[in-house]
Amino acid sequence: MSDSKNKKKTDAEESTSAGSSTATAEKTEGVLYLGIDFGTSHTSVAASNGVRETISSHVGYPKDVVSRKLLKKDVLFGDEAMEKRLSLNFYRPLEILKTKNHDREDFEANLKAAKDLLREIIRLAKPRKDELVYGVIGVPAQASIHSKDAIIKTAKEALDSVMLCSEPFAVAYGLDMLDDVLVIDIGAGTTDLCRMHGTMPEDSDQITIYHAGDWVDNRFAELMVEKHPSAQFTIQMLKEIKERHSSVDERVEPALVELPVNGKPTEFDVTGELREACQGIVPPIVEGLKKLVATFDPEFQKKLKNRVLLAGGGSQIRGLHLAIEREMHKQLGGGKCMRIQEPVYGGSNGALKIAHDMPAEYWEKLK
Amino acid sequence: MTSRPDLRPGGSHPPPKDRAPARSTALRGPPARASVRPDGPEEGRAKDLRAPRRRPRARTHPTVTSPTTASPVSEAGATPSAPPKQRLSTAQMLHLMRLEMDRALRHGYPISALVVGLDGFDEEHHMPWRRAIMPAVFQELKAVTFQNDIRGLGVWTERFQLAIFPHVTPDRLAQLAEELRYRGAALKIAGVPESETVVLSAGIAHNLHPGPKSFELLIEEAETGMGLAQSAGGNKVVQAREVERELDKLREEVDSQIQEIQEFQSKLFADVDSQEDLWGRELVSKVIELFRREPEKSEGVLRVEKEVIALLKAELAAWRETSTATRMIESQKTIGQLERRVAKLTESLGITEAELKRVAAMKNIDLGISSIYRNVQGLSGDEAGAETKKEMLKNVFESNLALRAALASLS
Repeated sequence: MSDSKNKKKTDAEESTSAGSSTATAEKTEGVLYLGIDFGTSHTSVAASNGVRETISSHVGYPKDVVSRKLLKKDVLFGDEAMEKRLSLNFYRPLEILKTKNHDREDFEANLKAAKDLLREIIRLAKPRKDELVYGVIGVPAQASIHSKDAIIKTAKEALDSVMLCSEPFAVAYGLDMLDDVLVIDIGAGTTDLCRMHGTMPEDSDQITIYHAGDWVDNRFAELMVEKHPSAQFTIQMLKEIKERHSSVDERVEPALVELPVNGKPTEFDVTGELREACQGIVPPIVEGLKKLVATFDPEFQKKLKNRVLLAGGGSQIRGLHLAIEREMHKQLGGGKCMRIQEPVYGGSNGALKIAHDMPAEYWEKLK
Repeated sequence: MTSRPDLRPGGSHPPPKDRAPARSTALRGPPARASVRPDGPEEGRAKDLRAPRRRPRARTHPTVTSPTTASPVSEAGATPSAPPKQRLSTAQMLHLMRLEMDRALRHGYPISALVVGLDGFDEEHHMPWRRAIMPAVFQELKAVTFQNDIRGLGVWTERFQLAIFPHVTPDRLAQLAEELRYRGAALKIAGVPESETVVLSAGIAHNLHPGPKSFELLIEEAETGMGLAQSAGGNKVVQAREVERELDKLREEVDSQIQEIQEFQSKLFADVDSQEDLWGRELVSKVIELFRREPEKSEGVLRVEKEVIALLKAELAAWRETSTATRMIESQKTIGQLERRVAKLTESLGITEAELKRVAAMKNIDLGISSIYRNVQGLSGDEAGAETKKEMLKNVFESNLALRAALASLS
């Protein structure tokens, strides 16, 4: 080894905190940890080099040579892909990976898109070529074994070692709330409810319901058709309206939006429709909480009810935690729901913390 | 070419249903008459660059037919009797190009692709100029191809021009591209200040190589050529494949030169040593034989024999030394020349590789950001709930191990 490398090694050893476990890694140029939240709607990464990035989980490939040359890219991600989707073969891969439906014609294409998305999010974390890169990826609990296989294989191309974990567990671990906590992770495709009781959650500790972001979009669309039949819109337009105005509070600023009617932009007040659609996910969520509470040790049920964590993109609906509390009061006789501070990075922060805390020998064995 | 797709309405090739984002136009006729009407951003145009067909004078006025409405729209100066012209979408034109490529591969004749880009005139600030320049450049391309009696298919957008030419070798196309480059520089275009010179970079690709061939690869290689031309300062015509081949040739040449030197050194001295050694031994043997023929073996004769042989050996050794030294000097000259050649080749290789690296660097290859950690961390024993967390981390690890085992058994 050269002198400069020896010096770096000395520096490295000096900078290692006293309380750290012994390291077995051979490389001396540093260790980069990545926490990745691979979600249906958004994919986020938090890294130990200070990088935090999030992109919407959309992937697009130019339809032909001219599109490719105009777009100047072989593959587009996130909002850019969404914006140029008419020129692209467009995928929302995590949506398909969750379905376990491998017979779909486009399953392989979606799998490829998921791989490319994972590569992109790793690239966005800006790992150095000379560093060991260890990653923990939060994946949907329902992801099929084939999907997990694809994720691991893809991640191994860019990472020195990789582990998967469930998304709600990562959220709870990141917030250091591992005992008697109920985590509600509202994603786009699913809402995961997870009971943490000081051990690794088992299958019986997790419930998945499909009342999530996409369900709200579809319900909102139904209500719009019902109440404003002349308005022309797409699900994507409604999604954007939801992200801007979503609320379950009674007293909010009116959600006034412009939608075309026979080509003419017309203003609509969609406050009521949006509130009703958002409100629609509350009863099924509390129903799920009820099941998890009811099957828990009676001595700790009260504590569990008072420690409900609301995470995921869906938690950004204004007043949702209060609406859940009200519904819990009705169905469970009380409870307290807290919204996490960073809904977008909650999962990736937790995965990063897991990666940081994972002993070196575990990483070595999963290389 | 054995057959051509019929571009006329109701022709034998139905147009593909998928539509590219850019629209395009297909025309036939002499370049001066052909019409390209840029009417919006990202507007693409496709044209048949085939040589003009001999037609009655009245028929040389082209007309344009919209593929969507199929209603003929006559241009200024068109006669009522002029035949309607098919206006093709970019997707349709690409489909035709692909057909040509397939046909070329099937029948084994050459096909070359040309991608032309405009140097400077960045898209953010000078898009209106680009919109004015690109159709004019396309007209020049048409003019150049017609004058050289070459047929092809082409598409243009504000960012690039793409054309393929069946039965045209890359060398011929390179000449055309150079001609286009010169003509481009002389262009004066309304709406573009005269002080702004039109500078073009072009990339050329072809199917006359042993590697994998497809329409996509052909375009990609031409595009790479254009990228190399632009990154090398622009105003150039480059064949990407030729650059790579040149690099490989340089590498091979350096290797073979080094090998030649090594072989020369080892063989030369080994041969010389063994030959001289043999010759010396033979000479000494002959002298010994001469003395053997003398029947009287007096003390004096024996002493003379010993002294003669000793003297002969000493002389031989001295001669060999001077002979080897002379040869070594000569050989060193040859080796010196070879080594200078190797150094030159290596320098050339280095420059080319550095240039390639510079191009790679221009493609925003990021070196990354360093982690705050120099070593694997792991859970600190002092942390609150360390035991619980350790157990959970172990569970995460074990479930991952189980997953890997399950995946291994699946595969």
